[in-house]
Amino acid sequence: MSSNLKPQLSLQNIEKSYDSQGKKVQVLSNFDMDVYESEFISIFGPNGCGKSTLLHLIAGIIDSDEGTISIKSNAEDVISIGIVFQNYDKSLLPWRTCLDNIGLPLEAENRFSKKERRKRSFKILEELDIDLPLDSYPYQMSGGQKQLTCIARAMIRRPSILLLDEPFASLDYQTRISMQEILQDIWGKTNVTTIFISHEIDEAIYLADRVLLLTSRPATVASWYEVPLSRPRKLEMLSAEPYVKLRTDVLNRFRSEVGK
Amino acid sequence: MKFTRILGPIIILLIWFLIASLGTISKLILPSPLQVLTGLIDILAIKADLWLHIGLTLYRTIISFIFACLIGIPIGLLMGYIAPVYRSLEFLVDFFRSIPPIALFPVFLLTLGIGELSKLGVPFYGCVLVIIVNSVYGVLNAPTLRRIVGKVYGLNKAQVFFKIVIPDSIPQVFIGMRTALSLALVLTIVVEMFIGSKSGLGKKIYDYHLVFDSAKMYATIIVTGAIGYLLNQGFIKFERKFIHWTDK
Repeated sequence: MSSNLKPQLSLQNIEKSYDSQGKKVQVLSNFDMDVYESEFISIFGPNGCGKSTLLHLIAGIIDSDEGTISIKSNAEDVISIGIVFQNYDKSLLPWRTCLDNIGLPLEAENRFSKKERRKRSFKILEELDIDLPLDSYPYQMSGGQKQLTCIARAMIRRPSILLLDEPFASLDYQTRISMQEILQDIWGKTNVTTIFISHEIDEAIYLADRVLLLTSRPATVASWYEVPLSRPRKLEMLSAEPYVKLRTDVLNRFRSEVGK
Repeated sequence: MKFTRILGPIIILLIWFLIASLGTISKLILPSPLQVLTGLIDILAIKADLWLHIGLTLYRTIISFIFACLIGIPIGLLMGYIAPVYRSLEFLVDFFRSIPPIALFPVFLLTLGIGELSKLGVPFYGCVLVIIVNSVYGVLNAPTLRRIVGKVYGLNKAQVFFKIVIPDSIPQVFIGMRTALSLALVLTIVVEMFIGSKSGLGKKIYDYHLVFDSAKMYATIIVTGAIGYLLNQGFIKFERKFIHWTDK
């Protein structure tokens, strides 16, 4: 990625540790990362290395012990972050309909009336070309529909950065494939800078412009990989030689990280 | 399916018939089901005063329950959500929870007099603690991820409380309310049996006991049980409609 561009997201010298049963556990150490506007980044790494912690730091859910995180906002009328979690059941509000879940971020500001919130919810669904049972409650919806509701909710305030924490990990294979296509489509339409965490190597490479491989805990950057595939991505590309080579490289490095 | 639901009551009735017809137990202690049925028809006759006593017992039950909800739910929710409030009230709630409400009846008589207030005070006291404890657990056991979602999307602490924490806690709050409603009826009946009481189902049960009219005493107890059952069933229906998203 061009070094003369100002990054949309920049993490510098991040340190993060937790107290676990009186012991200090270092999760991230001397961590640097730059992500540029409209990039799609996948983060891949060993189990428990700190991928989700990294996302929570970027989202402002937790604070780092040291270092700086800077986010460049695209416009005044947007929030910086939209986030989608793996556990859609515990992330959606089960007492609200699909439509009212999508409009939740608009309630942070009192300037949007209920009518306006609904109007904007319809608009984002139309823009993203997502079809959902709007008057249904989450318990009446499928896993894929619930996760799409979370994505629409994350996008309603036009975030500068969309964070996805293993969003498809709880879905069956067929739904997962279809959700990957929808996500790719959404990214293509909005060009939102996207950070996608996955523990599934094919998914991580297939969707991304660049893949960030993390080391074992304490996590730091093991390697960045440019994905040499054109867009729009097609499933057939998964058998193409550049893809296979990249996959092998990432996996070899991953194995050496896990074995450390 | 429907038959299995009434099988238990039928078996109890048959055993009751059998024991009563053997004559080994005095009718003063256990009258026959037919005698109790006759007593039930007598006390429920249109002009009988039992309806007034049913009304008064229900009034005391509902009023003490409503006040317990109005005071207990906000306290419990705030205790669950705001740690300093929890820390400052935890000991008091646990301490008063250990005191049986009936043990405090003399205190209520001394402070509130022998009138209606002391009869409302005891069930209120019993219920409010049950409701507080369940409301606290409603907040503490609700998934934290939804609150994180609210925070990430810019909702302030008050918005998170009203839009996320309260609805998330409602299922557990309702469990507390249902327990408290049954408890309110039980404590109201007990209080109505005490000195100074002139009305209510508790008073009627005690009066029939004093004049050895066991058939009517049992009949009044059955009426009390039926009221408790109907209150509970009504509340369950309301709960299913109101918190439709639980257990799905």
